[in-house]
Amino acid sequence: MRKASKVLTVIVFIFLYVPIIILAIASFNSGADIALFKGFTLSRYAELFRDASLLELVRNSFIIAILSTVIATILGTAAALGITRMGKKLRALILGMTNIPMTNPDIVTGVSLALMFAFTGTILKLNSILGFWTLLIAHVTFNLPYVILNVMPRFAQMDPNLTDAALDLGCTPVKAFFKVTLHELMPGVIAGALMSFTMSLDDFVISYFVTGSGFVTLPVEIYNYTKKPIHPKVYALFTLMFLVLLLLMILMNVLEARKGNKKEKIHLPGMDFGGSV
Amino acid sequence: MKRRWLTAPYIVWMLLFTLIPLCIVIYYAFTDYTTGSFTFANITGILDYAAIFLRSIWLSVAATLICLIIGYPVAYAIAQCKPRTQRFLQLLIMLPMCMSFLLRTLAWVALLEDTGIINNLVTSLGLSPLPLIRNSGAVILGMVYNYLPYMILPLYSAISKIDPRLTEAAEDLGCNKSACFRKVILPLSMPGITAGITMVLYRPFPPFIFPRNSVRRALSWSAIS
Repeated sequence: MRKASKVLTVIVFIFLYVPIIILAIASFNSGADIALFKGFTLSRYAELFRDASLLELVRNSFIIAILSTVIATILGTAAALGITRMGKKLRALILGMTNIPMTNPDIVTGVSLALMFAFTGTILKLNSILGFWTLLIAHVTFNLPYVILNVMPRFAQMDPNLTDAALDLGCTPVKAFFKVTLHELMPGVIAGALMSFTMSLDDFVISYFVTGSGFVTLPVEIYNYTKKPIHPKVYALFTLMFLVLLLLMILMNVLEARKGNKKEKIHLPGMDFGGSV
Repeated sequence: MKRRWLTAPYIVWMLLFTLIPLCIVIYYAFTDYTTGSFTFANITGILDYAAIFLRSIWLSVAATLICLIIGYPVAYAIAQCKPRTQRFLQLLIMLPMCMSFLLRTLAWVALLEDTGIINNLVTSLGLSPLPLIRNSGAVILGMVYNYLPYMILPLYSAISKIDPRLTEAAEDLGCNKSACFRKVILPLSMPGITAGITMVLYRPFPPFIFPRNSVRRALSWSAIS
């Protein structure tokens, strides 16, 4: 049973990476058809770095993804903290509201936000308020439910006595929150932030409706590309982006491991009273 | 307690950017497109799309079930790893989803198409090309591919929180493996299952994907090169 689920896990990981591998191979393909590998070339990468406008789109996408993730994670975790202290009725009402952006197809969220921004624009007598801020607001809005949905289950499983114990042992409520509650919630918070970042970086349907000509993100521009043939330098761009993100992840993991090892060395000898480590 | 007020900014945000925009959409749903007067015509017009609607529901239910069946053992296997590996795998699952949805879909098309990678192999072996694309199976494959990570993460988040001593206790008290799973692990991972289903089932397939012939055009850059 255990072995079977491990094999399945490996298969699932391969399955998840199939399109990425195809895109990576296509980025080295000197031929034009993605399905036929003609020969190896690096010229796609050279073409990519000559295209400054494409690199600016990447920057825009990352700015929006990082900002919206930070805002949504803080707002969402705070909201989840409050929701767990509410009565049943109020909690059901708010969780119902949380489900709205999730049950709505992206296109409805996009159109409804665009309509509202258009209204606000006419009230403020501005020609077009669509741009960076509307895009950021939209991204935070669709990220929030994912943060809450990831954090709430951790709360349900958390032992409420832990916080009380910290308070009894002399922690201030703020310190108890950061040292105990947040620590317990962390896997949920990370999962929520991770989903937010991913969806934000990849979102195209909602962004398409709420973005102006001044601030365009990569997925929106790629949609425009599908109206004409995609230049293979786009494959090169995504292969590079993938590699950078992968390296960042590995780096984070290694750093964390170092930090963890140090901590163990400092804490364990004193705290271990003859038990097995 | 005061902690309840932490939810206030969230509620204000949702009122402003979810409920009010939705009300505007509802207003437009009941007004005539050209004259601006009240009408039910838009609502009754939905019936024209009933068949597509039902098909969408059927497809998302099927995809959600498959995601759950595949995702649960994977989430369970990840939760059994060392803590550091767990965090790494968590990131590794989300990573492909960072890449453009459109490009990933194009890659699947390139793989499954009639003149795609798999069928090129099949025909080079002297067989006739397989009908791999433009059927329900391909749609479900695409949905499962895109939503599987959103199922695995909440499942993992719940399963990793289960105290291993509980399963040990259940085994000590005479439960066999399957009973232990049914009576301890499954009920305790329920919050993750509901969160996962909510995320996957309610995320309908992005409704506007490029028209068919533009896919072929997008993939063959040779047209201008």
